[in-house]
This record gives sequence, structure tokens and C-alpha cells, in this order.
Amino acid sequence: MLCYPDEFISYLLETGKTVYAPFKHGDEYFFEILTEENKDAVSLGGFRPADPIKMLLFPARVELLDIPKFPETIVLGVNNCDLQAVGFLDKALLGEYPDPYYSEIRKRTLLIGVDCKEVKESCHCILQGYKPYPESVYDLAISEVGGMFVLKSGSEKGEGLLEDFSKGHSVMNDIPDIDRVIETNRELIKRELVELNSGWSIASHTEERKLEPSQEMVDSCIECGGCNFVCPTCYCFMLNDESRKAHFSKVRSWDACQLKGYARVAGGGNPRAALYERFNHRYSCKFTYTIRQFGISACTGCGRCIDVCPANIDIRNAARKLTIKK
Amino acid sequence: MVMLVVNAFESIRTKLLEVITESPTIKTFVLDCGGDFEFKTGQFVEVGLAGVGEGPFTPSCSHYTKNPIEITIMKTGYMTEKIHQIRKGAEVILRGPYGNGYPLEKFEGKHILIVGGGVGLAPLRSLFLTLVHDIERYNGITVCFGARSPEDLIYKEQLKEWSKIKGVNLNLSVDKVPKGQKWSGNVGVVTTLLKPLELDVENTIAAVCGPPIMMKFTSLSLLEKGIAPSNLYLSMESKMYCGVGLCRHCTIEHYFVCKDGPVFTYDQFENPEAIWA
Repeated sequence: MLCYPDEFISYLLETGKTVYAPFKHGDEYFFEILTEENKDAVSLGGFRPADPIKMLLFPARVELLDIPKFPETIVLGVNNCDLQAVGFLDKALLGEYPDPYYSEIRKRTLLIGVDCKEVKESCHCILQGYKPYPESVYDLAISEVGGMFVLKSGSEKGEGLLEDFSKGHSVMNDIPDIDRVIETNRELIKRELVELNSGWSIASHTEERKLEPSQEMVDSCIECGGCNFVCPTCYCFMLNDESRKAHFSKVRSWDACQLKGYARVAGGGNPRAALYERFNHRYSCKFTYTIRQFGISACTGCGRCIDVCPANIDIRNAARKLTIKK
Repeated sequence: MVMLVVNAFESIRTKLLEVITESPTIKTFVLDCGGDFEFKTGQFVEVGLAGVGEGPFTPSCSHYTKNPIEITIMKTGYMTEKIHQIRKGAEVILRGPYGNGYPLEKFEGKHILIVGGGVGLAPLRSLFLTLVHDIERYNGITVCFGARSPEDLIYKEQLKEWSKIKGVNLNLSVDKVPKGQKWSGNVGVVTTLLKPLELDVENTIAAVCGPPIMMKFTSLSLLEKGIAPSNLYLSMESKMYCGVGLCRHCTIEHYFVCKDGPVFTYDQFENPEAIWA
């Protein structure tokens, strides 16, 4: 289905749902709530936003008893690295005992993916087995061609939205060759990514990789935990009781496995007291453990950990030393 | 039966019926769950005080005892310090049971060797009492318990009774006997009890629980004796918040101690050193 971008964005506002969309500030993109006032400034198809999508679906600090009723929400313009991260979080958090907060938010969220039109130096989805356009997990996907939106639904929820939109708006059926044009655009971005990442080898997100981080890399780490907090798939959390006037609450807050106290138990025992052990654990978790647990690795190649690291540690340099374990 | 609640983090409220002082740092809490609380021996529950915190503990009673249940807790951190201060009638929150218990069907017809140290006796008492309930199903039970000193040895009165049960061979040891404490038994770490044991290793199942260092040397000692790694059961513990396989804090290699354990067999781990870390 083809439509005019303005019309579609205005329609999203008309639905009355809370809509997040990417906006550019300085050199970075950020998800913000879409309004009548800012709707002309939406920047779709840029490289992924500075903050990971878990900020919206898995906030840093929430109360787990008495889950509030969330508004119906649409996230417009999600890059594939974040879509795949949501796919990972779904596997990790919606199992036998679902995280009650995440599952409520997730039920009320509709994700609109978008083809990447540009890449950032740290972008490396292709090294992790992903592509720079919506592959799965999306409810709706947008490819921009010649100033038009090409819309494709990926779920019943997305199909419903498309149907509703097509009722009162001018939409066109797909024109011949449109897929070929989309494919050509995608190939150009893929080629740019391949060139940018030519020093590293392409891997799969379903195959175990074993890594021994170099001591040099470990020594440069300052243990800030930034890589954990900006990672769209890192979801480790603490659960603490807090007293309130009339009741008590269980507070879930993000934790970071690179921080020394992460696995420390009462009495002081710590299975990963040395930085090397924590560093090694992070990579093992990303490239081995999560594959055994959920069938996929926990890196989608968004590159945020590279941008955030004060010590310039590049996960691709660690990944270069990865050997495929048969 | 107490129903499992939909929100995995909601607890039931239990009433503290009795506190038994086991040692200067260990107490057993007898909790009225308001109805039958079903669990399998070896499984754990998240126990705590509302607004203070909670932690993973294994019931120390037989799984045939459904209410009240007993939980043995050592004072070692903030929450356990607080829980040691509460008195009869207090409200204790509890959720669970979680994880996998001992696969008792695999124990049938076998000789069971139970080795524990310190507060590690808690889950093993649950196992022992559960086994004793159907003792004819097993080919005898050998128990080896150790503690730092005579006053640190828990369940003292009950242990005397255990040794009278037909088919049970009870061995006790303490690391040392400080001045003023009485002890007539073996002195030395718990592994010293294992050396003289004569076991039909092919048909023996071992269940071990205790501090990491004790688990390590006990496991190594049992393997050396010829116990198969797949017959060596370890009841593990690690930092844990959620108890249900979400928060990731308890992972050892790719295992969630909460969901895949807390009972593991030795052969499940790629790198045994990761177990003791």
C-alpha cells in the first residue's frame, strides 16, 4: 500500500494513541512524543536513535505490583536493530513467568519499522546476522520510495491499523516494480555497511561463538556499565522492596553485569570479583548463553555500546577474535 | 492448596508460628501458609518481610509436610538480620515454589549419600525427611554433616533421632572444638568423613549442599571415590532477585540457578570451576 507521508503521520495522531517518533537533535536521533506542533520535524529512516528502544518498553525503574494501565502506544520509525532487540526481549521476558510490566506495555504497543537510509560509524547489524531494514517483529513496516511511504503489515495489529487508515485516506495499491526499487535502495545501504565493516567477519545470530577478551581491552575498561545500559537487549534487573505509607512495593531497576556488585551475595562472596571475569561473562552471555537459552544471540549490531564507551572499546574488535565453535 | 498468583512477583502472606534457634547465627522459622503449600524437596521459595526484602531459601521440612512449613535461615546480610529479629505472630511474605527439586524417581533402589555443611543442611534435611517417609524405596541412607564448631551444628536434637532410624547411617564432624564447647565425635572438615565410607559407588546417589569451598572439595572427593558425575547432585545458590528466570543474576554458565536448578548434577557444567566461583 502506498500513501503520502504527511497523511499517514497525521492519521497516527488522529488515532488518539500515544505516538513516539524519531527527531534529530544535533547529530543524534531521539524518540519523542509526536504532536501537532512537531509532526513536520519527524526524521524517519535515519540511523538508530541514541537511546535504545528498551527505554520505552522496559523503563529503568518501575514498580511491579499494581501495574498501571498503559495508554495504547505507537512507536514510529523503529530501525531493525531495535526491532530485533524487541524480538529478543519478547523471548527473554515473556516466557513461563512473564515480566508483568513488560507484558502489559508490549500488549499495548504497535511497532512501525522503517528501512535505514543512512548508517552510523558504529552500525554493524550485518556482522551480527541482521539487515538494515525491518525483517520481523514489526507490526507495520515503512519503506520510503520517491517521497511516498510503502506500507507493509507484519501482524494482525498492523493489518488492523492499515485497514482503518485506508478507510478515510487516499491510498494506492502497490505499483509494479516497487519491490525492485525498495530492494535496490536496501542493497545500497547494505553495501555501505559492508564497506564500513570490511575489517570484521560476518557472523550468524543463531550460532554459538566463544570469546576470550584480550587483557588489553579489559584493562582499558573503567567499569561504568554504560555498555549495559545503552544495550537494547541487556535487561538484567534488580528487584528491591520499598516501604510506602500504606503498603510496600517491589521496585525493578536496571542492573549492569560489568559493575562489581552485580553477582555479590550476602556475606560478601562474589563469583565474578575480577573485571576480566565480568568482561568475559558479558561476551559469553551475548554470544553463547542467550543462544542456548533463547536460540538467538543478544547483539543486534546497533553499536550503541561502541559510541558510549569512554575507553573506546569496540565490540567488533572483540568479535574479530570470536571463533565459531563447532 | 495455595494458588499460584498471576503476577510472578506477588507473594502470599504467612504467619510466623514459631522460631527455633538452631545456632548463634541460624534460626528455623515455622510458617503457617493458611493452607497446603505444595512443593517438591529441593525446590526453593522467595521468603522475606514486606517492605524490607526477600531472598531464596529452601524449605527444610519434608515435602509431605505441607503446612506449616519450616525454613532455616542464616543471619548473613540485611534482610536475614531483620528476619532474625521477628517474633511469633509476625507476617512473613512468601512466593514460589520455584525451580527443580531432586528427581526422586531416579533415586529409587539406590543408596543415598547426603553430605552437608553449615546451613547447607537445610535443604538436605528436607531431602532426608522426604526420603525417610518412603525409606523402603531406597537402599539405605548415609548422612555426613559438618559444621565449623559444635555450637554451629544445627538440628542437633533431631540428628539424635535420625541415627536410630533403621537403614540410616549418620556421621557428624566439626572443623574444630573451641574452648568451652563439648564434642565427642569426629574433628575435621566434612570430607574426612567420606574417606572411610565403603560405598557401592555404581549404585550410590550423592546429594551435596554447603558453602562453595565445601561443595568443591566434597565433589572432588566423591568423584575420586568413583561416584559418577551424573549421580552427584549439587544444590546451588547464587545472587538471585526474581526467582523465576528473568533478572539473570543467578546465571552460572547458561543455566539459570532459579529455573534450571537449584538442583544440578555435576556433569551439567562445562567448566566445574564456574560452580565454586
